[in-house]
Amino acid sequence: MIGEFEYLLITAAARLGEGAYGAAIRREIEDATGRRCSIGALYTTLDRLQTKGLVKTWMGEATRERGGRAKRMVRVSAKGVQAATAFYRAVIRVSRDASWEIP
Amino acid sequence: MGDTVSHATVLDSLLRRMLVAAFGMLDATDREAVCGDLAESRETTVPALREVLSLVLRRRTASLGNWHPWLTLAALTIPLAAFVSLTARSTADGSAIYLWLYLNNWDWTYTKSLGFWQELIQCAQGVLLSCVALVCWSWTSGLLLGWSARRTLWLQGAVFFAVVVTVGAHGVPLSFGHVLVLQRARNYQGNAAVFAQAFYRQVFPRILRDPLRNSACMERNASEFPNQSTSTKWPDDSVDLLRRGGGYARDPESRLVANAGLAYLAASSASLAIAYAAGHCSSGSLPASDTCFPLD
Repeated sequence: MIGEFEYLLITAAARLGEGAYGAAIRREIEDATGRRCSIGALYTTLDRLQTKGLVKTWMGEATRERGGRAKRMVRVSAKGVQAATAFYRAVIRVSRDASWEIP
Repeated sequence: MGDTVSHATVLDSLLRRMLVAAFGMLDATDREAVCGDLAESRETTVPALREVLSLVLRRRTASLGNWHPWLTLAALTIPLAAFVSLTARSTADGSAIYLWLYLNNWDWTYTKSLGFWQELIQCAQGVLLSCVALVCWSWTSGLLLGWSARRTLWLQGAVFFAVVVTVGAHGVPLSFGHVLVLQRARNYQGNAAVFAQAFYRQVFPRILRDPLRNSACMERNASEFPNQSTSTKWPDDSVDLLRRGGGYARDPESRLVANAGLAYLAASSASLAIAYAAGHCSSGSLPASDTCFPLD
């Protein structure tokens, strides 16, 4: 089972599709959670996911707005989709019939 | 007002330099991607520095979780450091006696002798060649280490430097005297026996410094004791020194200076080689300190 941050990263990359790379994924996670996402956490998690075979990364093209630096592109693998789906279903199952009203 | 602006400029410059240095600690791929991400998100210098340092820290600590760096440390770094430090010590012991002979017994009148210059040049060549050989060994060891342990170079380099400087300058601790090859280190000390004796440390210099007095002693002996015409009478205080020292004395300063100097020379050469190997391995360019990020 993947962790919470790993799930966030895979989901953000899946949502972005062809345009998934470091900075875009970071913005996506920060917008969704309202919390700061550190570059250290992002790239070390990305490496871990790649080692597990859940994502594939490669160096993309450089753009002027990035100071001529290349992007680290991300694509979710089939195994990554399965892992994220399993996590999502587990969250749904465990949340079923749970009451969030403060007693 | 002018001072405040000046201080701010100095601080900004310092922060930018720190940022460039932090980028230097990343792999070429990480550096390229992270530098681009930070430029794209228009991060200012301080948050950018925080982000880069957090990634550097995570990368460093993550690499320690594997067994590879520890194997490299035990199988390569420590043996190489022991080898270089013992070579430095051996070279220092071999060179220190010449250093000691010339420095402790220097007399400007020697410079008038042609033989003195021939001897000095020959001795200097020997010492210089030993030092060059030591630098070559250190450089080769550093390169080997730099190419073998890229991810944990900071750890391997720090351990290597510490071992070379400590063992090279201060010798092998007695408690480690019986451990493997380190025991043999004592046999490598070329002229250790010479320095260990009070005769060479304290009596011999007096004989050299006072040749006239010594020859006068010999003449007096010859006149007082005609049957023992070939005997030599030591300078008066030399016998006391020998007796007080029990025949042995502490290392002379020249040997300590030679040990420490060559240990630092070896460690510095190896460190430069490690830095060279690390720079050679990571082909990505560092960001220019004045173009990558806006100021706070």
